[in-house]
Amino acid sequence: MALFTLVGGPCNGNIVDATALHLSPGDPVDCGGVRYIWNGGRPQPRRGCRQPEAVASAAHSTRDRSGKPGIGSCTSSRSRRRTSSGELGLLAPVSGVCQDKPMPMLAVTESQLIDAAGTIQDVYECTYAVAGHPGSFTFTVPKDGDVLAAAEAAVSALVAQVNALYGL
Amino acid sequence: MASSAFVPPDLVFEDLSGLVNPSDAYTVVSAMPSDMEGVGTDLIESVEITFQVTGRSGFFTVEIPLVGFRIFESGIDLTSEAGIVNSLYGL
Repeated sequence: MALFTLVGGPCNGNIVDATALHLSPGDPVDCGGVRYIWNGGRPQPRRGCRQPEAVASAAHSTRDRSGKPGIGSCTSSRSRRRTSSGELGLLAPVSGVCQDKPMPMLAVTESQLIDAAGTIQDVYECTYAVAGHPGSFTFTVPKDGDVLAAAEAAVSALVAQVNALYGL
Repeated sequence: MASSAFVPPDLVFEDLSGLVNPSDAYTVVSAMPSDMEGVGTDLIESVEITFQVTGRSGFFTVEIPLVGFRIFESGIDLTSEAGIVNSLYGL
């Protein structure tokens, strides 16, 4: 069994069983909207970003106290050095995006939606950047109810959709 | 025959911003009386508050019914509304 630890990005610290997933050295793993790739079991140099403290140790996390990814989660590495099968290696993101800011939300504004019945609904209109892809994407969440839960679900759906579209 | 022109009265909007508690988390731009839907077809008096969240761009609004003693005893606190905006930016 070959175990790998995802380093940096949204899935930092996640363990991947390469054998179970039929992964070969160099194969990418998509997780949390970011593409990770086997880097030969060593931490990658992260130009332009502060080195995450947890890179050297997969047991640590770059997430801060609030659970958000820590600052310095650099995903610019593109090294494809290989290591022997079975070694506990590191999978580093290769999306080409160096996220010094843990906030891909570009803007939050207010808007209103009118449904087919003519009912007006107050919403937050959120403009979001998906890591690894250019452009910005917008979704709305009702101002009524649990705004944050709805927004988190919308973000997950948006990231999945954008990644799927770019994968076509 | 003398002619006269109708002069509309100046519109006067009551400023209710004094009902909102001051905070470092937000800045009140305006607080105007309004009406919002109540039960059934009834309208109830409300205050429509436009505010800015500290450190964020744009303006946000919230409409709060002017009923209940909470408003007048402790003032209107928009901390939770500002917190929602900040949390959205944190996603």
